[in-house]
This record gives sequence, structure tokens and C-alpha cells, in this order.
Amino acid sequence: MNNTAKYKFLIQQHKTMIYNYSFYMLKNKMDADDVAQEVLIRIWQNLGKFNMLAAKAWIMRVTHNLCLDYLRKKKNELSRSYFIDEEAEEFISDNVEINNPAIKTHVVMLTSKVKEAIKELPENLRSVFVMYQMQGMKYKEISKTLDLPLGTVKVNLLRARKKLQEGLRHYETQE
Amino acid sequence: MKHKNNYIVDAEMLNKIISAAYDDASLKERYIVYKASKKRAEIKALLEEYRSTARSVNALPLEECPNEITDSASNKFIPKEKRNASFLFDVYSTFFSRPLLSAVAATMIIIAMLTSILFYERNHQTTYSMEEIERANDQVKYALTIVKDAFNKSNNILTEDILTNKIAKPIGEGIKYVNTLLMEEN
Repeated sequence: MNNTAKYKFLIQQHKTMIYNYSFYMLKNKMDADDVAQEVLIRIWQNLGKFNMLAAKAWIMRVTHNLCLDYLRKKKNELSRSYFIDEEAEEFISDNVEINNPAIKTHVVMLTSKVKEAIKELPENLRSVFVMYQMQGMKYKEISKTLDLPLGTVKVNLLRARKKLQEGLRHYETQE
Repeated sequence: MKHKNNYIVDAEMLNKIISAAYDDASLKERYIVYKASKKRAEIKALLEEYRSTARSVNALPLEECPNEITDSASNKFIPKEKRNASFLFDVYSTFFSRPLLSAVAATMIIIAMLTSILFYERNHQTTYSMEEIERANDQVKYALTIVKDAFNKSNNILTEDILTNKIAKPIGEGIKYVNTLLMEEN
């Protein structure tokens, strides 16, 4: 497999993971676009330097590190985040097969709330939660990617789930 | 199995409830949570609450990477003529990018191989015509006749030649010789 084929194969396989992770870590699409693009460039530049079988861990580590760099840089800048995720709402609204408009609206609202609650999780818990819960990564893969002990990964996941529940309760009380 | 403190919601129990709600608890933990939820409404409510969140999280669609991002990155590195993916590459990457799909494909190939072997064997057995069966029967009979002839010949040789000429005759001659010697001595 030549470099072009390798690159295309890796992009095809991991582009959604890269983007989804960046989106939840950076909390907005514009920043996620920037980081995802930077990750793709890094993949091309380092094609020969990593094992194809361990590519997923390498790519996710690069994505994670770039997200952290981005968050550090952005810390003192004005946040570009927008809280109403219109595109996601449109997606759900188009894809949820519920005839009752009231229930449909409730599902859309709930999904939006869950997304916001995930984004509100602390950075270290959010990374583990998104990797495990949304991207289906195993504990070992996450441990390798984030360079954390397996026990810490499990504890962080549990904390994230508790925090998320608290966050959603908070939304409900606000309503 | 009775849980300590009558199924009280301590930190340990809460962890079990969360794991059970997110479907990654062990069988034992699930059983404990199930029993506890039957006994205590508080635990049942907590389990339902976490389950509902887990369902919502699992239903969240992944954020798809916009094509402009992959395109603009590809445009930087990949020569124009190699940018458009071929049909074979699409098939290849579709299968390899989804482990479930490759597992299903592998299983289907194995099932196809096994069924074709089994059906071939069955068809093979049922494709004999009556003529062929009769011919095979005749051939078996002919083979058995040859074997029978060979046994008869062996039997004749054994009884007529070997037993009489080569065994009984020398024994008789030996006895005769011994008798002659004994008579001479007397």
C-alpha cells in the first residue's frame, strides 16, 4: 500500500472519530474544524512513523493533544461556542421517526440537553466519556491513548457518568 | 442472595447501578441491582434515571466530519489524478473501517462455504441413476465372485496339497521311519 492509499484508508476509517472527539472537547464546530484539519495534516506528515495496526491510538492521541493545546490557547480568548446546535437539531428532527410533534420536540430537546451536559463535563472526564461512551473505545485503548492507568480511566468514566446525571438534573430543575 | 444493609444506596451500590444502567456491569452486579431495585423503589428510580440518560447518550449521532475538511487536506498532499477513490478502494475501506461489517462478511463467507460443501455432498449422493446403481451392484457381485474363487482355490490347496502332501505325508513317513528303527532294535 503506497502513502496515498494508506492516507486515504486512515482518513476514511478515523475522520468521524477525530471530528466527533474534537467537537465535544472544544465545544464548537469551528474549532473542531481547525483541529480536525491539523490532525489530517499530522497524519500525512507522519505516515511512515507509526504502525498501521496502532494507528487508531496514535491518531486519537494526536487529536487529544491538539485539543488540549487549543483549549489552553483559547482559555483567555472569547469563546466562539454557540449553545444551540442547529445542525444537530435538524439532523435529529429529520431522522427521528416519531409522528407526534410534541414527542419529537421533546426528543430533540433532550438530545440537545444531553449534548450540552456532555460539553459541560470537566475536560479529563469528558475525554474518557466521549472515547468510551460515544466512540466505543475499550478501556485499554483509552488508557494507551491518554497515557493514563487503567484504573484512572474507569474511575473517570464513572465520575463522568455521575456528573452528567447531575448536569441533566440541573437542567430539569431549571425547566 | 442478600445484599448488606438491606440494599442501602451507598457509593458501592450507586456504582453498580450506574454500570448496570450503562450495560457494562458484570452478571453478578446486574443480579444485585435487579434484586435491590425490586426491594427498594429508590434504587429502581435511580436505575431508571441513569438508564434513560444512557439511552439518550447511546442515541446521540456522531458528529460527521465535513467533506470540505478532508477534501482540503487531500488537495494539499495527494496528486489530482489519485484523489478520486476507486470503487474497489471504497469497498475495501468500507469493510475494513467497520469491524462488525468485516465479521459479518467473514461469517457469511464461512456459511456459504459450509453450505456449498454440504449441498454438494448431498447432491452428489442423489445424482446416481438406477442404471448406475445396478451397474455398481453387478460390479460388487463380480468382485465378490472373484474373492470367493480365490478363497475356494486357497481352501483346495490347503486341504489337498498342503495338509495331505506337505504335512500329513512327511509326518506319516517320519512315523514309519521311527517304527522301522524300533523294530530293528527289538
